Amino acid sequence: MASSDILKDIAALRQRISSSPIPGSPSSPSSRARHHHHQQHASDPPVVLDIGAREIRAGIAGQPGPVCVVPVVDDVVRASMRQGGDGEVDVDVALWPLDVRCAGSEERTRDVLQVLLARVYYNHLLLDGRSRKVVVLERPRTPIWIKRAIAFVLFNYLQAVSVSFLLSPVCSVIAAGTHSALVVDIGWHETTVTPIYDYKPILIGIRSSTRSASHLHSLVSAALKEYTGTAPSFDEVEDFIVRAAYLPSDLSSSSSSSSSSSSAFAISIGTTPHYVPSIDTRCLPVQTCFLTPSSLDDIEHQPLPSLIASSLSKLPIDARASLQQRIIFVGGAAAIPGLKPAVLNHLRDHFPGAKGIKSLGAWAGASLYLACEREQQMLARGAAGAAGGRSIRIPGEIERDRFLLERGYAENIYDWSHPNS
Amino acid sequence: MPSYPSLRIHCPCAEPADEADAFEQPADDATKLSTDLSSSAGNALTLPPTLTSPLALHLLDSLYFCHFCKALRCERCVVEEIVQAFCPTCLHIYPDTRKTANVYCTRNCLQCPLCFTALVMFAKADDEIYMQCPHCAWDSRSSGEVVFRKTTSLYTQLRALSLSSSANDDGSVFTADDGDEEEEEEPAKTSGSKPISAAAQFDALTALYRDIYSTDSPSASIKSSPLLPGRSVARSLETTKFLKSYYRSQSPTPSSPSPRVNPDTVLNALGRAGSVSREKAAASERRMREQLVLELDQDEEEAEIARMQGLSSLAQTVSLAQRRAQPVECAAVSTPSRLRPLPTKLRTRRSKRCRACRHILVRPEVTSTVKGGGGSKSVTTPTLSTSFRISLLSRNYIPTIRATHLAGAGAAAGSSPYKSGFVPHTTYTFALTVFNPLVEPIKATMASPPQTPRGRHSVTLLAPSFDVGGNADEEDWDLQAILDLRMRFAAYRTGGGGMGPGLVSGGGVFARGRNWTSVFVEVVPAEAEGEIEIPLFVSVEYEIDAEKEEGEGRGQKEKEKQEMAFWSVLKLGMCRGRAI
Repeated sequence: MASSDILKDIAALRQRISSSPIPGSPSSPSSRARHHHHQQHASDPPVVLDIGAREIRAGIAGQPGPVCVVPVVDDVVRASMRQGGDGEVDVDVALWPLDVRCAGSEERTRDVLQVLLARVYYNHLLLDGRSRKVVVLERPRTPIWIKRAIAFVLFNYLQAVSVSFLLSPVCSVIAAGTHSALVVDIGWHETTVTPIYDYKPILIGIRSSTRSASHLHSLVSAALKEYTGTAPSFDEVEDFIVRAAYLPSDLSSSSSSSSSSSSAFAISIGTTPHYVPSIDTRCLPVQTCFLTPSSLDDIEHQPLPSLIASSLSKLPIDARASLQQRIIFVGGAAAIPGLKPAVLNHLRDHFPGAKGIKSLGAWAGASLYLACEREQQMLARGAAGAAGGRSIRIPGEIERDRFLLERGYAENIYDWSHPNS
Repeated sequence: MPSYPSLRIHCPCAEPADEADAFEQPADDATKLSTDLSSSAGNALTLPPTLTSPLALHLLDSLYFCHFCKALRCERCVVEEIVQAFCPTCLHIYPDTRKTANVYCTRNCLQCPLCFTALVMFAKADDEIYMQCPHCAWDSRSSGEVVFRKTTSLYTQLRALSLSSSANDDGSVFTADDGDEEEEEEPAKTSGSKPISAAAQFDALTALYRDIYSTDSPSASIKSSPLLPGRSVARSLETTKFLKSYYRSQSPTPSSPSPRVNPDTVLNALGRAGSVSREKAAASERRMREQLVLELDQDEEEAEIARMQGLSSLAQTVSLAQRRAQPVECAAVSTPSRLRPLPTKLRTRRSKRCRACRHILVRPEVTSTVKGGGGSKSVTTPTLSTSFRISLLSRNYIPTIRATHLAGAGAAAGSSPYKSGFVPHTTYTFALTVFNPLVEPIKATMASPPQTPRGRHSVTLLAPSFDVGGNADEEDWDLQAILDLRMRFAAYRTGGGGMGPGLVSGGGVFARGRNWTSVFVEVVPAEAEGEIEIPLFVSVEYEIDAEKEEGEGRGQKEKEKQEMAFWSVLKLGMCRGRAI
C-alpha cells in the first residue's frame, strides 16, 4: 500500500469522524449517558481563555482571576520547536509574529497552541475539553487567521462544545465598572488604543504603535549588554524587566545628579553577578520606549501620549469628553510602576482633563459578564419553570457541529464586522 | 534533547485533512523513490509534507497503537479524558473535578512561594505552627500575616486568611458621593492606604452589575421602557437623549390620542419621578452606575516608585512566576516578604481514546478499598494505583529500529562521529536493527529517497526487504542475542569491515537473531551543514490466522495478510559542512 493511500485514508477518516457528533461506540456502553452528561455540563460556567502573543490566561467564568497564566514559550515548547527549522527570534518567543504574512505561521501557531491548550486543560484547569463551552478574548484587529487557528485547535483537538469570541477591550471596560473608556493595551507586539463607548468600539479611533514590550525588551537587552559586557538571554532580560523596571516621575532631574545615576544594581547573568547602573538600565529604556519621540517615528511608531492624543482627536466631540476621563491601561507592560502616571502627565499637555481609571483586566471583565449573564438566564429560566439541562446561550457563539459540517459557516463567522445570516 | 542516533516516527495526523489530493501531485526527482517495493501497485512513494515538522515526529515510546484501526496514534490524535485527580504530595484522590471546579489540594499540602517545593509543617510546644521549605529555607513566619491555628486543614485556614484580609480592605473600597453634592462625573477615589485586592473589587462589581441589570430588582435604575420593550438594556444618558430626540422628531398625527413623547414622559417611563430635575437624575444615575470606578491612585504609584528606587538588587524582588502563583484573593504581592504559601495543584490521570474509532487506547486502573465492618457500614475509598487496565502501546505492535555506527571515519579509532560530526564525502556504514514485537514473523520493507531532501546526503539501503522472526516466547527481547549483536558490531569494526564469523553474507543483511535482523545502510554526507535526517519508510507485512466461524468445520485456517506502514526520520548527527 503506498503511503499516499494510507494518508488519504486517514484524511478521509478524519473528515468522516470529525464531522459526526459523538457516537456511542460498542466498547463504551455508557457513551450515551456521557453524551447527555456533557450536554448537562454545557450549562456550567464556561471556560474563559485570553490568548495573547506571550501568555495564555485561562480559568472558569465567575471566578475573580484566572486559574493559570501559562507562558507561551517555555523550555518544553522551545525544545519541541527547535528540532526542526530555523526561525527568527520573534517567532520563537511569541505565538504569532507581528508580520502575519510569514509563511507557515498559521501551522506553527496551531501546533504550539495545541500543545499549550492541552497543557492548560489537563494540568491546570483539570477539565475535559468537551465539558464546557469556551469563550476566547480577541482584539478588534486580530487577524482572522489567528481566530481560525484558535477555533481549529479548540474544536478539533479539544472537542469544545462551542467557541465564542468576546472583545477584550470591552471586557476591560466592564471590569472597570464603567460603560465607556479608552483602553490602552500595551502588549508584546504592539500597543493598541481602542475607544469604547457604551460597550461598543469606535473603529475610527483605534490606533496602534510598535512601541511595545518587544521594543522595550530590545532596548533593555542592549543596555544590559553594554554595561555588563555579556549578552543576557531572553528570559533573563524579561525577568529583569518584570522585576526591576520602573519610571520615576522626575527622571530628567535625577539623572543629572550624579549620586543616583551611578547607583549600582546587582543582577546576575547566568551565574556571574554584575553591577549595572540603576537609572540607565531600569528607567531610561522605559522612557525611551514609551515616551520619547524620535526623529525616526512614523505613524506606526508613535510614543504613547501622542498615540492616545491622536486617537482621542479622531473621536466625535461628546465621546472625547467622557473618554478622556476614563483611560484604562491594560497589558503586561502597563504594570511597570510609574508608566501610567507619566503617560497621563504627558497627555495632559494636549488634553488637560485626562484621568486614568483602574480595571481588573480583560479576563476578569469577561468572567464578570459571563457570570452575570448566566445568572440572568438561569433566573429567567427558573421563573419560566423550564427543567435544568438547557445550556446558556452566549451571544455569537460558534457551535461545534455547524463548524465542522458547514464549510461556509466556518469561513464567515470570524469577521464580526460582517453580520452573518 | 535525545542523543544521536535517534529514530522518530511520523504520525500522519499532522497532515491537513482537506488537502488529501495534494498527495497526488508529482513530486520532484529528489523525493520520488524507485518502485522496488513488492507490494506497491506502481505508485511512487512521496514524502509527506509535514515529515520534518517538529511536532509531527515522535519517539516510539510515546506513541499508541489503535488495534482496531490498525494505525498509529500520537499524543495529538488521541482524545484524553480525565479519570481521577490526585494531589502529588499526599496522594489523596479527589472525585470528579468537573463539577466542583476545585483544582487544589484541600488538605495540608502547601508549596513554598519561592521555589514551589512542598512545605514541611512544624508544630512547637507553645502552639506555634509554621511551615518551612526544605529546599530554600523559606519560613512562613517571614511575612507575619500567615498564622496557623491548628495542624489540620491548612488549606482552609489559608483560604480563610486570604478572604478575610481582602474583606478588611473592602470596607474602604469607595466613598460614594452623596446625592446632593457636586454633579461632576467624577469617579470615586480610593480611600485608605491599603491596596484593594482584586477579589474584593470583583465581588463588589458582580453585586453592582447584578443589581443594575436584574429585571426583578426594585432598585434597578433602568427599567424597560415602552419605547424599547424586552430586556432592560443599559444605555448611557447620551444615547437616551438621542433616542428621545429621534422619537420627538416623528411628530404624531393630530388625531392620535397617544401622549406626545416629551422628556417628562420618557423620564417617567424610565422610572424617574417627574418632579426630580433632569440633571440631578442624570447625575445620580451616572454616579450609581459608576460608583465602583476607581481612579488611578497617584499615591499608590508614588509609593511603588519609591520602593523601586530603594531596591539595590534583583534578589529583593519577586519574579513573574512567583507573582503569578500567588492566589488571586490577596492583593498584588511585590516584595518577597509578603509572599504566602501556595496551595498545591492537583494532577490528573487520564484515559486516552483513538480519535477515529473511539476505542480506548490507555485506561488507568481505578481501584478502591472497601473498609469497615460488613453490612451497611462499609466505606469505599478510592486508592491510588499506578497500573493500567488497558494500554495499547506502539512498542508492542511496531518494530523497534535502532541504528549503530559500524564503519566510516573514526569507527575503528573509537571516536564517535555523533560527537565529532560527520565528514562529507566519506562513506559511513550503519547497521539498522529491526526488533519484531509480534508473535508472527514479519517481512519488513524499507525505503528511503536516494538523496535526503535537506542537505542532499545520499543514502543506500543495501537490503530493502528482509524477514524478521517472530517473538514466540513471552519474553520481550532475547537479551543474550542483543549482547551477541554488540559483540558482532565490535568484531566488525575491529575487523575493518570484513565479514566476521557467523555473519550472514549477501543480501545486505548483517546479522539475524530470533526476533531481530540487522541490515546495512550506507550514508555519504554531502557538503551541507546541519543535522543529517534520513526519511525512512517502513512497511511491515505479516500473516495472522483468520478466525473461522463455528459452522464451517473445515479445519483449515486461512492466513490473512496484514500490513502496516509508517514514515520515520532517522537523525544521525551533525554534518560538518566543508571538509576541513
